[in-house]
Amino acid sequence: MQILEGSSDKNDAHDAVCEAIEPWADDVSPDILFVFHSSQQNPHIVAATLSERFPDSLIVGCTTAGEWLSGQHKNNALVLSALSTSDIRWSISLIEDLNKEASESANKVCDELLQQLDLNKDELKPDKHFCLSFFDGLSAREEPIIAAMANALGHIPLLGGSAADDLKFDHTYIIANGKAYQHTALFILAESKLPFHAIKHQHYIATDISVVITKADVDKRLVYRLDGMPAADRYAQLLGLEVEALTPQIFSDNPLTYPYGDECYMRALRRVCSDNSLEFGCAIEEGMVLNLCEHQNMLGAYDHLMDELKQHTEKAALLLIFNCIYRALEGSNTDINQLLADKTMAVADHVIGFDTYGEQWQGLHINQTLVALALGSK
Amino acid sequence: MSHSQARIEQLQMQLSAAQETIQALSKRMRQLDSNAAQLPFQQQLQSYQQRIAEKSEALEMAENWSELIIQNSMDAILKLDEQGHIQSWNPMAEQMFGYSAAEIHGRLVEDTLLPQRLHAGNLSTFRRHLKRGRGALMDKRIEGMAQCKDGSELAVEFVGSVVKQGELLTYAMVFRDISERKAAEQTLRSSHDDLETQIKARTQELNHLASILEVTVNYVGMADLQGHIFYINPAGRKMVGLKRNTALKSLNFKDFHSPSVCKHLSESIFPQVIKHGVFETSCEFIDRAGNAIPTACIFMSLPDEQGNPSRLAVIARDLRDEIALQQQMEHVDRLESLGILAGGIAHDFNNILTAIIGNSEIAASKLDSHSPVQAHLQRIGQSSLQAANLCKQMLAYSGKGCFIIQPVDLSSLIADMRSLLEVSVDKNVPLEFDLSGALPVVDVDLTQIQQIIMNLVINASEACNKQQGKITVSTGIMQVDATYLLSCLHQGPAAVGDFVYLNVSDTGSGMTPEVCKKIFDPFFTTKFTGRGLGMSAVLGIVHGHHGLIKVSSELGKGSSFNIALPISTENTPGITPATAALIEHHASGMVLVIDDEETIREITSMALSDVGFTVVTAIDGQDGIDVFQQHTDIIGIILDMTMPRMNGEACFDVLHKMNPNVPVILSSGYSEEDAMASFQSKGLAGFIQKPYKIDAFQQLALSCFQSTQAKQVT
Repeated sequence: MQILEGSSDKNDAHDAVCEAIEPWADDVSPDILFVFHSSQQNPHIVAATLSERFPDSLIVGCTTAGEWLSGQHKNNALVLSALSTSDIRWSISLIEDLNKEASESANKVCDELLQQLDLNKDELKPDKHFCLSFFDGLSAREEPIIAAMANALGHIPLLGGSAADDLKFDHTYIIANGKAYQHTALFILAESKLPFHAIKHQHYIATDISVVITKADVDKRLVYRLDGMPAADRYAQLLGLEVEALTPQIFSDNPLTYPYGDECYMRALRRVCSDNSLEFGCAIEEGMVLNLCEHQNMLGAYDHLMDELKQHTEKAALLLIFNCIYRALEGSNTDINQLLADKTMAVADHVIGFDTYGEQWQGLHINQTLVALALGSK
Repeated sequence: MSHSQARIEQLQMQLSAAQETIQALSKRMRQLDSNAAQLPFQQQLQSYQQRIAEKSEALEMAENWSELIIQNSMDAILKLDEQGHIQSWNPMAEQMFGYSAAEIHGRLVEDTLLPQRLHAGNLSTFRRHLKRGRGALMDKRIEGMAQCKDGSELAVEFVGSVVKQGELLTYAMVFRDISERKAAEQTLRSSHDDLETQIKARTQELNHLASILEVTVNYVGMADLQGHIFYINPAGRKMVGLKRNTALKSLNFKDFHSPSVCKHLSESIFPQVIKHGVFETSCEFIDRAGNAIPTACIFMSLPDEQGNPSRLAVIARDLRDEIALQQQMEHVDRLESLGILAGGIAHDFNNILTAIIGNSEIAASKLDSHSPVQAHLQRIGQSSLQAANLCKQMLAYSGKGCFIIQPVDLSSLIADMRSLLEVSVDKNVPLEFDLSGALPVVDVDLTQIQQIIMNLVINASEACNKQQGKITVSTGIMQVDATYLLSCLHQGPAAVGDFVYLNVSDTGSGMTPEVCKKIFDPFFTTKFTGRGLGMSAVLGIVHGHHGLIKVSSELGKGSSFNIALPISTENTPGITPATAALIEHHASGMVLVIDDEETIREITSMALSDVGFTVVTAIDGQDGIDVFQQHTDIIGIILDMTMPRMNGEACFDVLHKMNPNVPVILSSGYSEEDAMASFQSKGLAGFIQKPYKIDAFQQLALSCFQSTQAKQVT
């Protein structure tokens, strides 16, 4: 597998793209090119510039809240990774209107993906096929769509992330087909002769402190009241803080989780609204009991993740990372993001990824989690 | 607001919050119980967990399926813990290695299955690989020997895999009995080795054949069906005048044949070759210089792997030498036939000349010495002697001349003849001698060799007469090989090796090839007065001595005659002619003359009577026997060789039986060698060749019949 990568900190989208690909040979024409960039660069220009430069390549990506490249964790940057190998076939498809009925959209996009690879649905195998998802991170439509996609695709690995905009929560974009899209989801189906392994990682433990969502707007992921109180007041009360002290960093440090069965599903808080309601990054429902979480040691947990990956793939050719923005904030707060990027190089020759507004994992939209795909193995 | 009122309000709020919470929880519980569809996230969670459950179930099923496979596998399958202790041992493992699952459980795999003899070199490596999990032994098929319970060893192929079960590492090992496969491989290897040996032998054979092709004296060439030549062996290249390194790429068979031959080959011969596979024919090649080369050819069609004709090969034998040899042999045969004819004529002439010479001598003796007739008789005698000399040359040519073989040093002989030769050649022609000082002797007839030398030198002189050339007479030793034999004339099979040679060369007029071919023919002459018997006689004499003669001549440049004579096997010093002895006799006694020629009987009788013998005659062998029986006092017999009724040989046998003590002189027109060949060891007293001079005959008769009365006078 031939992998080229590049990056730029320039804010001008065209300049950033040019600088990132400047070291590449003129005749490079990758099979697929992943591009992740901050809200600083204009996504429309990024998409158009890349499409013009690589007309025969699939170009996929999104805007971010932080960028990962081999051995680097960046902010406000543009990162690129180009793959060429005869061992993997790729297909892409978009749902451009996420408000349409989820299963109908999912089935349609699934058919398109299979058709491009000349496959039947029953030919999909968990050890040969995987699917990547990219959502407009402000669409609030990840849950139904990803659930429908999981139903459509069956048991193959399905993972991805929601586009971000550096915690501005204004506009997030998906890049495909030489364009930048909003309110859109992008799916990439791959058939691989190379081994691959998908992994999910989080490092929080639920405490006994719990709250009940007593009033909420499910579609908008807004929780008005917790335990019969204004949501922000109750959350701040749990932490012994004033409402005014609630910041993304506090949200990052004090996530809520929904225990169900043997697992805990992280529910990240995005912001405090003017009516003291709380906006969540993923689905919530009235009557849902959420537990306050406490951290494990982030570095120690990350080491475990790396060990687990090593056992599966020894060293991957490429590691594709979808990392929750709140993990990045936690790393930033403790200044270990670069250290994490360095550690990642022990399990992969090349890395690319971004900090998300939510992660998709096997039909679920989750938060404060890292999901990754290790592709190729030594 | 009072403190208590505030406390009430707070409690009221808490109560409301609690009620709201209870309501929310109750509502959710109802929804969960009745219609989860109203709770999409909950539904997603259920779907997700359902998927996880299905996956677990599938995994469990797979595990059950795996167990079924393991239990019924045709391979031995082992499960080891992290330290290599055997945890699971399927029925095939029991069958292969002889241990039951119960007795093997918990034992270290390497201690149990690794043969004892391999422990020293492999045990630590095996354990290290097992511990690392990803060593050379893992996930690879490895062939080796495993030890069974009964101590025997089994050829196995095994593969080890790491299986992670939660935090625990375990190992799976699969062993396959490959003893039968190994045996089959061994058989296959042996077959392969045999095949390799055969291929090597065949390759060597082909190399040998290729070497033979390279050195064979015949032309060997190969071409494709379009006639493009891609191989010609060295002999072939030499024949057609191609250099060893000349590329054949652009050559076609048409480059080596005339257009008419090419047409014949293309239209007639090649179709026959392709039809029959092999075809023999004669074919004329043209070499690069344009010379025609007659050959005998074998054409072959060489098939491809499918048996279809793909190439043509030709083996061509150059017939030029054979044709030349055949022409030479024909020439020799012709000369030989002429020799026989000449010999017969000479014999009859000798009989006639004997009578003429004898009668003229007797007539002269009976006439007054001053009679004018004496001069005429003398001329008759001289002419008869010249005629006799011609007969002698004819006999020499026919190889039936009178041979007296003795060891002779050729250089000494020529040195003795030097004065004679010098006066025989034109005084303007220088005569040079280059005589080897230490020549081996040759067994020859002295007189005949003298005749050869004289004939050759005189011919050379005449050839030089108008050219102001010179003559060189030389002798020496030369090596005769097969090539030299081809270039010279010889009779019958000739040996190779060292010969003494006599060479007479001149720088005179030389001869045309046509003349050169005919010079040995009897009666062929280039001289106005020649009789054409000189060179024929030379050839006859050389053949008579089992020698070789080679003529080289170039018109205007001169000629060279090289005569090679076999070296004598007896190492006796050579002799030169001795002085003849003169004998006078006064004889008595009766002599019987047996000859079918009346004139011979008369002249012989008169000659014998002249010296005192009494003579009785007989007309043939039978008559001779009768006369011999009638006269018991006969002391000697003159016997002719060729007679009607009973020839000389048969007659001699009878006479000898009747009285072996009576000496017999054989008289013949043939040479002594030929005549005496029939009388080997029969006790002939003497031989005289017709025609003879009366006095020579009388001396012989006296010496044989009256030896005791002879008085030798020197």
